[in-house]
Amino acid sequence: MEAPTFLHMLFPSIPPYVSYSWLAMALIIGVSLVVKRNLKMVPAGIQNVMEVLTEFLRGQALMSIGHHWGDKFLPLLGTLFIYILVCNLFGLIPGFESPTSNVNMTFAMAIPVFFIYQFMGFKVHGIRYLEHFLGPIRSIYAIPFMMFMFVVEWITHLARPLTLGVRLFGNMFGKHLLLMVLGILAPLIVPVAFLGLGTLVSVLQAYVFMLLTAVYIAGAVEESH
Amino acid sequence: MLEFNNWFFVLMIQFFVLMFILNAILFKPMIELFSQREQMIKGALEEAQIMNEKKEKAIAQMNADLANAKAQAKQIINSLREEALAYQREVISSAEKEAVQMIEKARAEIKAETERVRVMLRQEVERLSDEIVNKLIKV
Repeated sequence: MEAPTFLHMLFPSIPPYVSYSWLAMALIIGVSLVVKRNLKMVPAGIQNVMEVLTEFLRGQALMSIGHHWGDKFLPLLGTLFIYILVCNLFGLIPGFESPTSNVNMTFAMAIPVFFIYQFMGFKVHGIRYLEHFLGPIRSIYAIPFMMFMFVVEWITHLARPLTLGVRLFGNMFGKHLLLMVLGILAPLIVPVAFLGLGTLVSVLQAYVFMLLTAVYIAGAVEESH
Repeated sequence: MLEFNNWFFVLMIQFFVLMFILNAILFKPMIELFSQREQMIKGALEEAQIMNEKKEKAIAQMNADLANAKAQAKQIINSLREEALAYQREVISSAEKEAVQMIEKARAEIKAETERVRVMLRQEVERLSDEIVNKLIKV
């Protein structure tokens, strides 16, 4: 059911989700370079767009993670949002494929996020980070409960990269499939409405991925209760 | 699309690469720009505050100068008025004195004239009486 894509026709040995991710990277880096070259105190043109985007991402990072760590994680959160957004939007262009509608791509971001936030937890709190996993009660009599909570918490934490990856993949794959089916069934007007919906889903999923990452990092670097 | 393959590692590495590149060419310069802008705005605000304070000071100084000048002018006017009044008094008193002197002089002149006329009349009386006596004797 795979529709042929331009890049796949150009480079048949490279799967389209990889080649389109490279295209997305090239696009993002290209725009960033253009902005960086003409960076002015009073913004003009595309610098406005990038500034609004960066300020929005920074605001999200500072709000979710806090002022101490917010700026430090801006590159991670910002890259996630912009990269996922561009990849998602590729799915709306005929002849393009959205790299995020493949699990390799979504997990290539979800799994690093898991390791990054766990690493930050251990880096900030040391071994005491494990207290985050022991539940709300600290008592010698509650040791069995704490052990139980430890297992439950780890299951929760291990589910996080899975849900991150699968959520993004599912949404994008679903959108892709829906647009393709609608394009075959009613190619004239109906897909337009779903393209609008697809744009909304693309932005929303990029935002959700970024926000959840911020929340996970915030949970890891904050003090345990 | 659901099976994992070796491209997963490529995608993961390229994600990190993209993150480092974007950090260097987008996020770092942007944050620097934001902080520079913040500093600039803060500096401009401080400058405006300083200028405002200067203005307030200058206005206060001007008001003080104005009040000072007014007081000085008042003082000068008052002193001139005092001077004029004193002069006026002096002129009046000297005129009065002069008038008194003139009256005195006139009075003395009148007295002297009266005396002289009186002496002259007495002589005339004596001459006339002599004449009358002479005439009577002759007769």
